[in-house]
Amino acid sequence: MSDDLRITLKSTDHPPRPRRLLAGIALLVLTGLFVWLGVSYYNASQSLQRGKRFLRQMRNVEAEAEFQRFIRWHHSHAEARLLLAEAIVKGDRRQPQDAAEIAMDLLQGIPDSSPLAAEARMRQGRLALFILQRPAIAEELLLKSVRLNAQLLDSHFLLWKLFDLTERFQHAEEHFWNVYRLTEESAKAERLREWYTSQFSPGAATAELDRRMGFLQAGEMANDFASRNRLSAFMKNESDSAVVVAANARALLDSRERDAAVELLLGVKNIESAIQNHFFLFTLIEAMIELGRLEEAKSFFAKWRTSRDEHIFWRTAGRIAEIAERNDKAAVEAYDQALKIWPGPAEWTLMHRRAQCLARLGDREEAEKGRQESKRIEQLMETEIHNKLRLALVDLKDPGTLKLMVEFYRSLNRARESTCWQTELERLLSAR
Amino acid sequence: MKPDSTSAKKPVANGDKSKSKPSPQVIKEKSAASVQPQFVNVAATMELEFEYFEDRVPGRFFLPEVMGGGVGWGDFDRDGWTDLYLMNGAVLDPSVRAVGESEHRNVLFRNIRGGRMTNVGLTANAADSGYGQGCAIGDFDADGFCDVYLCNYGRNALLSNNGDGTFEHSSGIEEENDGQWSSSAVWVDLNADGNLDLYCVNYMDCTLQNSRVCQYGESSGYCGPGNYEGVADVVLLNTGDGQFRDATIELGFGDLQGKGLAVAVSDFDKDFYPDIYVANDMEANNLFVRTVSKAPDNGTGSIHYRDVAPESGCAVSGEGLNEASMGIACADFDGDGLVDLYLTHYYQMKNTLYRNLGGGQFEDDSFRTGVAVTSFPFLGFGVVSLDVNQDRYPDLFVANGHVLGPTIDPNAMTPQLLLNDGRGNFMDHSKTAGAYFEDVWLGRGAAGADFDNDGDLDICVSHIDRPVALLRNDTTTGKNFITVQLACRNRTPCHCARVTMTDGDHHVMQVFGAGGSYLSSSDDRLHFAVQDSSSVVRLLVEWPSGQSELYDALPVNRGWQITERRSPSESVK
Repeated sequence: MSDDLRITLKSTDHPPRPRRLLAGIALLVLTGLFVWLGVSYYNASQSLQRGKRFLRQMRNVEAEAEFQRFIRWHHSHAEARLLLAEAIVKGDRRQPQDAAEIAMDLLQGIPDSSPLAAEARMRQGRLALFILQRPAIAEELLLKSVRLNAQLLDSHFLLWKLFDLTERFQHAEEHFWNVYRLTEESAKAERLREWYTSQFSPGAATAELDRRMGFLQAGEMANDFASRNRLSAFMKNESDSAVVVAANARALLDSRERDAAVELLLGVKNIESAIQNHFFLFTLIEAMIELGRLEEAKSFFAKWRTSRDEHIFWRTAGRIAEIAERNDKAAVEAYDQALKIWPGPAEWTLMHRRAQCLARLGDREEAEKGRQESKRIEQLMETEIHNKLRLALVDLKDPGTLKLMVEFYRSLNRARESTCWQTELERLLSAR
Repeated sequence: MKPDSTSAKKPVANGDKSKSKPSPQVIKEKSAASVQPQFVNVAATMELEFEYFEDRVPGRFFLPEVMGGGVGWGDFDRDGWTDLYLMNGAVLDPSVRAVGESEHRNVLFRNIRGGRMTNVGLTANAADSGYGQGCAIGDFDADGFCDVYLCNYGRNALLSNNGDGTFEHSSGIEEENDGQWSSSAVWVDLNADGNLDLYCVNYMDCTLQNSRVCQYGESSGYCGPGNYEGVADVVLLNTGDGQFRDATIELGFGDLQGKGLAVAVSDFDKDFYPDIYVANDMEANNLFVRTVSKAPDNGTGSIHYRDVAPESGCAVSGEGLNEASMGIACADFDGDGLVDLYLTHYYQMKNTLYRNLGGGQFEDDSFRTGVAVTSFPFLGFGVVSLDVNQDRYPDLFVANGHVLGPTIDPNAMTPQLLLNDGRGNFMDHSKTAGAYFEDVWLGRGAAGADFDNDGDLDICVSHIDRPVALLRNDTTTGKNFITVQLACRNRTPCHCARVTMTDGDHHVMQVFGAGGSYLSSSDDRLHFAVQDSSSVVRLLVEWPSGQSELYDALPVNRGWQITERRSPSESVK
């Protein structure tokens, strides 16, 4: 062995003392770190369970902490995000809007590809509607939720309620039947009752939601003031939304403030975009007709390109034909279509219009039949009838109540509801 | 029934009574579009001092207090100048009447040659002291002097004109209207016996005992018609000897519990029989047409009336909704030869134009014609059809004013002057029509008459809380005119006669009707504006008897009295 090599060996065989110390410390630290990480990971893994337990115990602040801990290690964990969002919203550390915004961000972090995406979108929709009071965003989210999972009852339910809250209660049928389909058997009667209330007592149907959103005091009855406040709040948050503008305009029309309704509708930021929403278009055309602005009504109607199978399309087509174009034949054809689609069977005023068109066309016999039918349905809409039904509906265990509902819908030529109520009646009787 | 003969007659002036009205100063003729309607309230200068006493008691909110009173025009003394009868209220609850408080009475104003109105109510014994609502002017006893039927909240009354400047209360009316709330009435020969019968419209069963107070937000106010039951109308047949009998059921008017406020007679179906249109408040309206049974004619037994409003499309709105109808105007608004209907309604709930389509069909054309949009901000009562700009198309005056009381907005409202474009489309020209239209009023009864005999129609409007207005029509058109008063062979008014005036290439048709507006009675002369500068016009009169008479070259700027099968005579001036 050469002296050089010997010297080299000598220098490596024995590192200097400080270096050994540093290495030892580093090893210790690393080991500690790994241990700590391991323990932390283990603890974090337990956090999810602890958090769930705290959530069940309504210890929301602690639950939040646990879920935060878990998410630090499992950033993409969808369930954890769901739970953390829930804990934040239920907690009382923040203002509701702030909590909702944070929760929305968390939920947004769950991609559409996740198995929990539908649930996430639904929860986002619920937050957007009830806390952030942004129904347009809520509707987008809820529609996405049902596209991702058509079996998610809550999403359909929230859509139905959203329609109720935005003056579209008469156009919520599709959403209701989805809810009904997904509802367990034992609760179907309550659903049918809710549907009846939604259609024939829309104020009562939204009362509880208005209380939760702060537009009604506890124990206060539904009233127009609360509805207007709700719509104003929506407008404040989403003044560019076609649906929100149209909902506010519809409330103005119902109060007979026609000029204000048209001003609101035409003042929307992007009218060409807004009229792609059919509820907006329908409301605008109706207001124009009432104000005698028929040429404008016609030109807006000409822009109705899609979804020409909706009730509101046919209703509008009929009024344009009858009033703006004086084409009674086309009006009758349109009204015939409108009357087949809910709320058509209950629209006795539309039936009357149709009858008047027939009379002008010289078909006196059919006109008289139409008038009689209109009168019959009008009488079904009398306050006394519905006071009686509402009183009866308090007790769904009374076969008399269910029979009343069967008969009511049968009189309205609504076989679907009538059959459902009949099913409930048979279920009740067989259970006795 | 269509007329089956036509005879052309040349006008022959009656030497004893003819006095030519000086031709109006010839002014350069203006096109209708450039004519600026102008009305001036000359009540003060005419010494027409009157304010309806509604007996409003604070906090009571008894509905009659807000209904106001009617206005009736008629030439009671046959001096050629139309006089004015004004309904007045009274103390509704005599038990609380203050000691020494004077009675409030109706007033008859005698028109002194169009320059002054003199209150002759007391001296003429025409100053009834009931709680006055509407009045109907008509010559029920065919003595040539028009009488007055008074609709009251409470007992109605019939003032028979003695022809000597005095009236007497006629006890001939035996009707079960005691204590009823009557609103309007109209004289019309219902059974074709040549006597004027009476259709009396009743409103509601609302008494001091069952009166209710309603809440509007934080304020109390008057309850609407939904809170009370309607009362059936009454039809009284004139037996010809100063007596009347109730023939309501017998003639087929049935026991309809409408809440009637106005009634008008015209000929909507061109059969020359009187059709009676009744406007009801929040109930379906009625259109009674005569049917003739196939049974042998045994006097009145074959004549019957049937309500055809539901199938005719003029009972309810185009949507099928009952409307709160207050006043009626009948005229051929679209120039198609058929009489149309204009009704005044509640605040924010459109007035309604029923366009007569013929064949017994009407169409609610309110949205297309501008009637809806011009009426939404108002609550309409009295309405008068008149050709303001003399373009031969009937325009409209509407008296507006709310009913809920002074503590609830809106209350008083501006009246309206709506001009017709010739196709039955209306635009509001109120703002430039004079100071009266810029002010706010609680307008109620309104009736039209040419009180100054200058060829255009003036309007008297009764209000609540403010004096009556006499709107002299000062619109300058430069056009000539002709007025026509019709009488059947037996000298009774010839309702449903049709008069077509032709001047040059222009034709305009009017039907001689009765009633209309709200609680009021307009002068029954027909006014025609002559479109070209002719000094004579042609008049075709189609009489209900089936006869037609053609009067060629009738001089213009005159009033003509035309009696069937007699030569026309100039109206006395």
